[in-house]
Amino acid sequence: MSTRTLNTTLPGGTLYVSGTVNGVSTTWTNTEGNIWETVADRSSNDIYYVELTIINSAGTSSEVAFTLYYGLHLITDRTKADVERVKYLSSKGWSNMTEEEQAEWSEGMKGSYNASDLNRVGSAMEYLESKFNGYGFSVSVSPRLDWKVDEIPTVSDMAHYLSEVSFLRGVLSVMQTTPEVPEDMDLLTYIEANNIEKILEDIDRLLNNMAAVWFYSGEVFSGEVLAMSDRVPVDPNRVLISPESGGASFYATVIRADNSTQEGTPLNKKTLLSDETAEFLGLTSEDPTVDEAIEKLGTGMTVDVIRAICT
Amino acid sequence: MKDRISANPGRVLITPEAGSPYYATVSRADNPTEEGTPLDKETLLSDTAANLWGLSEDATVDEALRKVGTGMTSETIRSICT
Repeated sequence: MSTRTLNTTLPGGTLYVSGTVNGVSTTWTNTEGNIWETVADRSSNDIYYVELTIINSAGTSSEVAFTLYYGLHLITDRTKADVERVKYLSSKGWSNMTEEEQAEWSEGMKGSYNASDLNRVGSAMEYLESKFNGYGFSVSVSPRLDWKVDEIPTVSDMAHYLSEVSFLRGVLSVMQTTPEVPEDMDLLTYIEANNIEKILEDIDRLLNNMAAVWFYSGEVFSGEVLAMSDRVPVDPNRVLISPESGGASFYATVIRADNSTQEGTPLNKKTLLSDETAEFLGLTSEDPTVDEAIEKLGTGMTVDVIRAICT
Repeated sequence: MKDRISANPGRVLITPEAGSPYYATVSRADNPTEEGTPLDKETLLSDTAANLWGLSEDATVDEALRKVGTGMTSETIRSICT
């Protein structure tokens, strides 16, 4: 069975940690500072319910439970009824809930916004960061993934959280329907909570669309690919077909069915001129091309760099 | 770079928004006045050019640009200067 290395930050002074991941006992080790690590069996959904007993240097024992997420696990369908359900159970109090209600509460409720949501959205942002960079973009975010239930985020924490959502939203030209980022997390409504995750969902969709329309080496001719930035379609491969022999024009989706024996290298930002290489070469235009890169190399070498090095 | 190799070049699946999907072969019929330079391994990054810079035959243009930039400052320029 494959495994997943899990990390979490625990309180300073923690001496010993024991507990379970998805109900299975695991060994935790202190790797650096207050960071503790374990290796757990990889779950099918990449979600890990962690329950720990922590013993600190004073010999005091405490319990902590949290959920770690990896990849995209987005919730965009919260409703007013979900919020009302949270209010109802909250007003009942834990001791008056039925076993079913306690289980429902413990599993995390869509109508509330808590550590589980912050960790889930954080992992989604990290997932998108990796996906962007895999496609040749230079994107860096640093979401926190291990919020605990009893922690209270500061205003600064939440400003950072939203700023990273906003940053990711700004990397691509998003759809007209993509929501705006909430101004702050104060009195967050269920609609705003949905919007945060809808933004990330839209970004993932656009990244998938972008990859769906890449041309491959040997497929196209000069002039057929106009820009170095990757095309980001809302409807990948949708075309308007206009028969010359008559008949009405019609829209259709056209996808390759050429039974390739070799897919070929995609002609895209990553293979032609990534953000990282553009920065490395000192290209400053907003959307640099391969031609600019070659010109920069030539100019830089013969006039500036070589003269400086040789003298 | 690797060129795409197709068993059925130009074959596509067309799915009309109103109608049933069907396979067809799509060929360019745009009567070009100039065909244009093909964007392929030969014109973008041939094995010869890649090997010249110590890159594998799978290397991309992006990797070649990076290599050229690095190579110029550390190797080529030094040899030119001396």
